[in-house]
Amino acid sequence: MKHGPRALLATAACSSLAPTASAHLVSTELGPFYDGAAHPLVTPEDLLVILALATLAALRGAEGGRRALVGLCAAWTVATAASFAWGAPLSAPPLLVAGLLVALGLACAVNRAPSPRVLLALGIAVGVLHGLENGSAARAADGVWLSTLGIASGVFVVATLTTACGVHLERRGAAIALRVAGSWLAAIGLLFAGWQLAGPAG
Amino acid sequence: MTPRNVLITLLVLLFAPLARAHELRPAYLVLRETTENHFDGSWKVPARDNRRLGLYVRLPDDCVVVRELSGAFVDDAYVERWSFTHPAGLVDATIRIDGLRETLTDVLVRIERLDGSTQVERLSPERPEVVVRGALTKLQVAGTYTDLGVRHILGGVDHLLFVLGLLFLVRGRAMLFKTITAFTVAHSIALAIATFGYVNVPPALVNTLVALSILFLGPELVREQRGETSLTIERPWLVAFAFGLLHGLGFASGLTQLGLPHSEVPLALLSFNVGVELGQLGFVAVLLALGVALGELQVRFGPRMRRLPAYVVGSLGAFWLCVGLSALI
Amino acid sequence: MLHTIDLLALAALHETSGAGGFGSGFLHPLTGADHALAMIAVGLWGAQLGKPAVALLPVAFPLAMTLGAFVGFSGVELGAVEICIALSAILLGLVVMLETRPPLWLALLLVAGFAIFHGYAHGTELPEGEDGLRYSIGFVLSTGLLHAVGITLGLVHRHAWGRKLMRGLGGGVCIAGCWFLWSALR
Repeated sequence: MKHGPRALLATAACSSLAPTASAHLVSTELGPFYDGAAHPLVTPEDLLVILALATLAALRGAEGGRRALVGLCAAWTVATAASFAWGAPLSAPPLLVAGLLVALGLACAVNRAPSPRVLLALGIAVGVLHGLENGSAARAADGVWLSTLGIASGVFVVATLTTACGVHLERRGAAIALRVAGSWLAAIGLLFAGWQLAGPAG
Repeated sequence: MTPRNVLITLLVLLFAPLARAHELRPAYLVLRETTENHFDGSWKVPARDNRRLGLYVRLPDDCVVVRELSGAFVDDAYVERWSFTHPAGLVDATIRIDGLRETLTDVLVRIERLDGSTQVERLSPERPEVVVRGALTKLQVAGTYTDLGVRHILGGVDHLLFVLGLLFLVRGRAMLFKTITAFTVAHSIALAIATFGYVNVPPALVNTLVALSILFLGPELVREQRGETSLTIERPWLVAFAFGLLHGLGFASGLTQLGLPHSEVPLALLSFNVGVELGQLGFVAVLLALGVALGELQVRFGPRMRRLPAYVVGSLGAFWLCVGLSALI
Repeated sequence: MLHTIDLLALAALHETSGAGGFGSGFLHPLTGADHALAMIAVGLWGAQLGKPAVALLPVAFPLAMTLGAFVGFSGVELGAVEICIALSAILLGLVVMLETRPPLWLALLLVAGFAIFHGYAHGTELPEGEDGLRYSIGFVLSTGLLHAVGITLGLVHRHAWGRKLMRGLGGGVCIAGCWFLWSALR
């Protein structure tokens, strides 16, 4: 994707049609890389699902954490890039996000973490889903590849730090803290799902 | 995919495209006070094929335009110039950019006063106007320049890459502390000296030398990996200090470009330096936290992976050196 | 959309965006004294029961509570909610006061049952036009923190005077519950 004359004309066209141009990446005023990096931190959907996966994976110790992390980061990066490149207008339905949170959180609350292999697959699934969403949400921003890179770095940092925190707790025999966290995440997901289905906002 | 492969991919992704420039260009508005309350303005809007972006400057209503030159397309921009007077010297006046809300462009506004003070603002579609300020209070100076300092270091990939190289080179907490301190002290000294005008090195030369310092770290990192030793590996703080002076000159040219207030120069300088340190410490903190986290996750790197930072640092250093040299010539 | 946010203000983002979704969600469980007291009592009871209940009760409560909120959203009428909440405060206060030690499953069932009513009450009185996800985060966080307050208070349980204090607190919750019941019935 290049910002050639076409992009300029598109911008000009936008200004003539005067719609509200809304870039969905939060702006840090530090350029597209940092806008992307801040994205997983300030987008609750992304942050919560990363936390949920990290908590669940941490119940399986370092190996589980590693697998989930690898799957998540790789898939998220590739999916964001792919979404940028192909421009497929995809967005994850809120109910799917809520369901994912409930599933991951519940599995964690009842201490039924899947095997590292399944964790890897879960990481990939979550990464693809949210990466596609991020890619299409952020396409309005300039410097798309830098934003993709930023998103990838942001996700990597957040996921690594939270997973490591969880693994640390698990090793210290504080797995119960992870289960409590899981139940809170599941509760958030459940409440959000209820909100979507029949809440006051419709 | 093993964790190692993914990390390689991520690291390569992390550093490869950073050298690319910003592609969607901002528009520039410069207002220069020529005599008391009398300003020359120039307005440069991105354009292509004799089509300009629909951005227009709206000066405050009590401005009296003295002279207006018709606009012209210059290269890939459309440039307008005019001169005007304003009874209050624009203090507390609002300058709007019409049409900005409907675009994705940013506008850089720079107001230069007779006393040499400048105000630089970046306007965006969400904030299409600026209130021109009078003399800054001390707190405002400190806040503004700390903010500028943080932005400067976080935007300076070359500086961050050098710090990254140092982090990989250093072993042990005490040495890390010493090295980072040496780097900080050195660039603070150089920043001060250069800002006060005792030393004047052309920015292009500084950039080239900074690139050289990064290139220098590459082979040292390889040496460290091979278990060999050198002066750099035994006393990394020495290298950090020496090259810190260079990097400080780089910060100084950044600060000069941003413009210093006429009064409060020492305060602005100090705040800018504090901002740079904050940004740098934040970067180091994130990297160290990542290092601890990867250790907690028992991620083990093979010999090739461990050599990667050296090659990334070295090749980017070499690349920037070439760019810098070609700019010098 | 949020576009001009200073990096330093990012931390405060949840509060400033979404028209107070996080803030109103966070405050909601704290607004009703009956809710807040019952949740603190759950924390106190957990602390008295010791492991594993101290951890399992806070796991079960938020889930059961959101389940109740879910029911509340969907418009199912549970009826007599205020009375049930007052009763839950009385009963929870009572078990804390008497240091009752039922089997774990019974304790969990009791707490979960009450939690459903609490959640239901919250689910039926949600504000319009907020950001649903941020609201949910705030809601669950403050519920959890109320438990944490109870459990922290329960740290005094290892001292003899602390046990007496906790039973006294339980009695207080019980009396407050009676008052809530009276005002609900009136």
